[in-house]
Amino acid sequence: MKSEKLLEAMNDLPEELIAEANTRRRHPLVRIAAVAACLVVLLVGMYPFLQSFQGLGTSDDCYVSDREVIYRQGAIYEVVGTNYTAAMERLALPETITEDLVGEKVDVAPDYGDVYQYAPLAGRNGTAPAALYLLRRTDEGHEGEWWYLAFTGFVAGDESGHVEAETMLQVYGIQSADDIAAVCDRRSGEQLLPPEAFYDALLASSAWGREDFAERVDSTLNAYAGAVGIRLETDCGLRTNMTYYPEIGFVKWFDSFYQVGKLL
Amino acid sequence: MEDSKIVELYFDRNETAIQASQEKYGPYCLAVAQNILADQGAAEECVNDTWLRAWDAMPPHRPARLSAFLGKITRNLALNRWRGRRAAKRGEGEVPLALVELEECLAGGETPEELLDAKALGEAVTAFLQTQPVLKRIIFVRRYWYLNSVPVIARHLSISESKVKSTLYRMRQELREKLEKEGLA
Repeated sequence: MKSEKLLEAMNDLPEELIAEANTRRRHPLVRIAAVAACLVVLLVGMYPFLQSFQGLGTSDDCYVSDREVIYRQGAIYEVVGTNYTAAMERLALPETITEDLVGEKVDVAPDYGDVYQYAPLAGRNGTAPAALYLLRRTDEGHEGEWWYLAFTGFVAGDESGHVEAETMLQVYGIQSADDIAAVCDRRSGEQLLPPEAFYDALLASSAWGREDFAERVDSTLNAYAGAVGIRLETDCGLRTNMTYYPEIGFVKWFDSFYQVGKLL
Repeated sequence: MEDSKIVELYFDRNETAIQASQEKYGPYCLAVAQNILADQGAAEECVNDTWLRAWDAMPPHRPARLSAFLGKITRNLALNRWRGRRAAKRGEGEVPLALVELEECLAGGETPEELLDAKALGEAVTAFLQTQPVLKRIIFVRRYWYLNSVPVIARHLSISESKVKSTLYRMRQELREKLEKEGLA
């Protein structure tokens, strides 16, 4: 049966996609409280910031999933414990949160606790939300524990919404190519291209939203063939993943697509 | 025990690796197998076989994500066993329904089996999923990799069953278009 081949082919999915779908469940009451908190933060605190993005509206990604996430500064943050092996490895986070990593207290995450700057990033991302914060939890069962808040994208507008590359780079404290330590192949760890070349290509690129990108590639055969997983590492130890589609010259970074042309 | 430590036990040929795998991922692998086989005994056998396969694979293989690596082994073993049971007209699980749904992703009419190159199919599906929003991606993978039923997916993600069904339907249509363009369907 032909569909058996497709079912079998699913076994070749990358391990990160399989692991992503096997995320932690949250207690229903915590989900309800978190959704209410999200709405308050979005509507009251972040409206001016959200207006800077095109296509303001709702998105499939603006949901409180089994992965614990919170919303702050128009962005989505994954709540990561130091015992979350997969996330810790993916993000290359320090296994122990020591005093020197803790910056100033910035605000409070409702139902979770106090949010602090991640000291290595302090002052480097301007007004953009930071890629990493620290969370000192005050909720029941986790009092006094230190966790991470890891950036996993902006609250997208509709499917035409996108984020300029410069804004994304700022999130990671990247203000010049010097702030990038390496641009590597996600699987092998091998350097793919010099930081300056990648930085320049991203800054010069045009940003596309998902709908426009889908329309663009619909007319291109083999658009996704030969996709390359890219890992960008900053000089202060942060890590973020992207995908490069060489047939069409696009980089996907969270929910935005950047037309960079030929990179590799 | 951290995954990296478990993997090191395999590399050191220390048999406590299997016990550690069972403790940490036994229930997870059992759930993967049960979704396919719906038979507790057969599912448990697949899980036991998983540890042996893992022992053979590591070294030299060093998985990036141990849970997904073990889950893949279990899924393969369970699907093989399911085929055997189907031939003997036994067993149910979610596989028959999933197969019917996935037929929609492939064009109608006669398509030579040779066109369905497994590797190319896997790459095409991966690329398709990577452009999808997180929620849709999770729904698709839970349905066609984990072979969870629609009600289980809906409960797990706290969304309605109708949303799961409509999302899966639209994604199958999109995937079909992509596969047709790539000449894989």
